[in-house]
Amino acid sequence: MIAVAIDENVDVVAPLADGITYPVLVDTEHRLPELYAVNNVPTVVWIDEDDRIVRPNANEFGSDMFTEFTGIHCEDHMEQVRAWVRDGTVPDDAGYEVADLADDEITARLHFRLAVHARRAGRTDVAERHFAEAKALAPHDFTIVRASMPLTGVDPFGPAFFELYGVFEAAGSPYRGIRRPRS
Amino acid sequence: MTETGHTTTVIAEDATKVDATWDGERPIVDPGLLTAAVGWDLKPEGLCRDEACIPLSDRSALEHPDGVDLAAVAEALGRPVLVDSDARMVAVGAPASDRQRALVSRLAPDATLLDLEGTQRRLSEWSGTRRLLVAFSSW
Repeated sequence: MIAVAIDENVDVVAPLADGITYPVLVDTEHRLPELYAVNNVPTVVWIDEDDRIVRPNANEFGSDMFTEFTGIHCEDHMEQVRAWVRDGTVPDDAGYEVADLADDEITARLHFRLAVHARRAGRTDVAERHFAEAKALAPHDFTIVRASMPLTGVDPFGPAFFELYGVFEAAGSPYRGIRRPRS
Repeated sequence: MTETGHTTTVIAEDATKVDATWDGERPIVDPGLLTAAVGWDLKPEGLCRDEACIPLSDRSALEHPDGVDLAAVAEALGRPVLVDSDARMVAVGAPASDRQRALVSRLAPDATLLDLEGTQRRLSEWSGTRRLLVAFSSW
């Protein structure tokens, strides 16, 4: 298992990785959102020995901390992972096709990266302008809208998050990947 | 109008600073800076990296009296590009073909990421094992 934080820097991730023994990496340039079309976390991808994607992007959790909210039980996924490791069994949903990014979403990611670098260089006005453009172009992408919250002084666990979740649900919850049925 | 000698930030694999001449919305750079900025070099055969060259159908779209149009080069490489001429910044994304590799061919794209010591690591270091790639976040 390789955990990749879609975050601004190592410092915000290190406290979350305390005591964890598997590799933890930080994706400051949002490579996974761009290359794997990841639009929210947690997203899990199964990859085999030959670098083949066995089961693509799926919204799976490492614990039942959010089960009341999501209706997803982590044990359902863990049992499938064990079967795959044990004898290569893959779940029926493994053939799911993740849709490619739309042009607006591709442009949104460029605005986001430009904003992140402008912010790092202390160019706040430029950063704010491009964060706003990114959000307007990809209003349902958590790796843009929610990831930009802590970078623009907004609490990502506060009212802005619930507002985003409302917009996401109203749009039919367009998660890019497999969403386990509520159980 | 053309404005010369502006430090311009190019965000591609990493962020680099290059000297650019701005012709309106067009960031014009010395061809010698292309490799540092986007990893490819302009040669008579086309845009080249190591032994591989991409032939150009319309070389004149890239060339400019003061150098070469960085945004046009990115587009010729199949990469999306965003130009902010006021801020002197250029963002270059991954080619769509890299993402197609994951979504259609189902081959896990490699990527360079930081570990918690701040060292650059490649996902391919874990090739050869069955693994879960888990995207998470602090937000």
